Amino acid sequence: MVLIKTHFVLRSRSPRRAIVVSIFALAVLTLFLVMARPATAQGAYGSNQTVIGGEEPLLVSYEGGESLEVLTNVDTGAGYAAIDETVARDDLGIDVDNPPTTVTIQSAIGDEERPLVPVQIQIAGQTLNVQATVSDRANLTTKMNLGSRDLDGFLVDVSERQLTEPDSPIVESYVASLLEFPPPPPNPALLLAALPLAAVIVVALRSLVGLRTFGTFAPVLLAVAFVQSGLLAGLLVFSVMMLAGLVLEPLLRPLHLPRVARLGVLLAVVAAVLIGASSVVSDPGVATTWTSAFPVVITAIFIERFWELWEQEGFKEASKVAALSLLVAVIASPLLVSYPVRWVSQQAPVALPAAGAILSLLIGRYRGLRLTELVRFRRAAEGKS
Amino acid sequence: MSGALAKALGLRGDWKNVLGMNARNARVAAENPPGAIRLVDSKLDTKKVLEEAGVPVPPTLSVLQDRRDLRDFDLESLPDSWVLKPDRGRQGSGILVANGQEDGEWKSPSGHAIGRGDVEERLRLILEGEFSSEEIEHDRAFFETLIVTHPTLARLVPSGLPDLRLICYRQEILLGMIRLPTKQSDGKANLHQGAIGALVDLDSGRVEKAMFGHERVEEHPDTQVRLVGVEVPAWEEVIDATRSCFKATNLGFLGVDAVIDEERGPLVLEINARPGLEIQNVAGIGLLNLLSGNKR
Repeated sequence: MVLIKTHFVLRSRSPRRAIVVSIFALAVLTLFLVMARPATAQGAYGSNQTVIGGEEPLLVSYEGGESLEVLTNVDTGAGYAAIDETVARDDLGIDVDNPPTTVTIQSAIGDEERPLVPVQIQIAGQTLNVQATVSDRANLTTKMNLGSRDLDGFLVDVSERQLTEPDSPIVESYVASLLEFPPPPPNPALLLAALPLAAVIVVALRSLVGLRTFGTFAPVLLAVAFVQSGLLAGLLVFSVMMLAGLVLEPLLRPLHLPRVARLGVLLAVVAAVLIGASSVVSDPGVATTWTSAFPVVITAIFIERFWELWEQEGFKEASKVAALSLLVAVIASPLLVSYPVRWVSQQAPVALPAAGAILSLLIGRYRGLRLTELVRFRRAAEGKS
Repeated sequence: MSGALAKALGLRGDWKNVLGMNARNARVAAENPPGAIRLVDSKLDTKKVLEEAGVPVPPTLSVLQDRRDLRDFDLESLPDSWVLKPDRGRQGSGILVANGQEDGEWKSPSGHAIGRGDVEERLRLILEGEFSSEEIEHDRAFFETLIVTHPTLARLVPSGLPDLRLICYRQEILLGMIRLPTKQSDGKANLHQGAIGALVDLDSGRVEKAMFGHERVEEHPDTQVRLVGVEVPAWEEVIDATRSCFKATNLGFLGVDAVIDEERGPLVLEINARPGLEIQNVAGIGLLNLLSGNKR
């Protein structure tokens, strides 16, 4: 129903107006999404307390030593704070085998005596002295846990994640966090909501600018992978995988494999490179993100398309298309995690897909020239000579 | 509307008549029924309907449907020269050309030997769909008589096969050009790869102007033969054959690819349901004005 209505509205309008409106809307939206900063995120809760999510980054230190940034789980059901044994011993230099005190924890598997160590943490701009039990959290991405004993003055909204930075009750920029290593894990629900918006970028680059990419939405899926792995790490891994595929392809050519089989081999190589790369990374959390997130199939298809294009239109054209595909992914990934997108996806999750649909529709109605066609058809515009 | 962007950017020229990809795609969707597009995606099916409509096409020597045909196929039955094509090849991929035989082996136009094993290998790949659009895993292969370019056109180019491209819309031929291979295009008649595009006047069949890359030329850069004024042989027949293609294919917006054979005269090679737009550069005018029924 909505679609029919929109269609009707567009038809009745002058086409030129639709073009101007859609280009303008797109430009404003993109600018707004990437530049905007949260001004009143905390104010939304109408309270003086600092609001934190179910998972926050914090700085932890021991006896005035060096501080370390770790991700903490916030669990109001727990009492004491907890810290990972390896982090406590190796990174903070705490002698966990001879703790100053111990505490008996009651849990589902019975009573357990655990070391209790005094650490200093900085969370959401506040510095706290915390007694933390030591436990094994090696398999968790959150190396600490905060319980109710230390959450006085905080309001916990478990539906949110990473609302603060260690030195500030608000996040300055999620976009900048893309350049961190490893980046904070993104919220899957957010990615799903933001995906149609990222697709709008691809639609716009095709229909308005006239850029060619490998596969229609492959760059968007690559952007999602970049969000999960971090931009720099993602680019590095992707480049290594592409390179491996490109080196391998000429070796496969003389075997005259059918395309399906060739893609199968490429896929296996790409997967092997990825497994190799993630085993080099010591952080198990990062390794898991990589292996689960990286679109192995898409990378294999990229490689295959690259070769096909090289054969048909030359190395220059193939490299150009590869570079453009990567560029689209790099443009789209900050957009996916930008503050306004996060905010809208939390306030009204359906708004983003709806906006994506409407924008794609508007752009799709554009029948005029693409930007690159102003160069391509410059001889046609000469008129009769 | 086409000129809105150019105007906004302050570009000079007659941009309002230039047909872009967005507008072309919309026209293709509006004018070409899906069934008709499917038909012309297959060279063999196209040949069949064109033959029935009396359009001259290159004679088919033999068609291979599957592996059994390949097993039973007698390579000895092939003449000295032939062209092997996949039925649904992507942009001319998979085509093998033999233009002579020597010591039981064929020779490609560039002088490479083509052994029996090479032909069998290529046939197998074609049947497996290696050169065809992604959705299919099986294709047909067929041998055609090799086209010998009419001497009037052959003397214009260093090597390769010059071909004609006519753009048609709703029963009207809008523009025609001849595409001439160059050394740069490596014998191929593709403008993107460096072939020359020469606009042919629809009434007289004479070359009006020519374009090499984005530059206007009067003569072929490799052969130095003057192109402007050259008369395409059997032009009336080319026009007639093209007109017969509208009804036979049921397409409203199409590009007709034809060649002029030394003996057989004009032959339609294939029909394109998504015609290229490069002809606008060659003509120096946009297509939009012509699409709306205004004569040049």
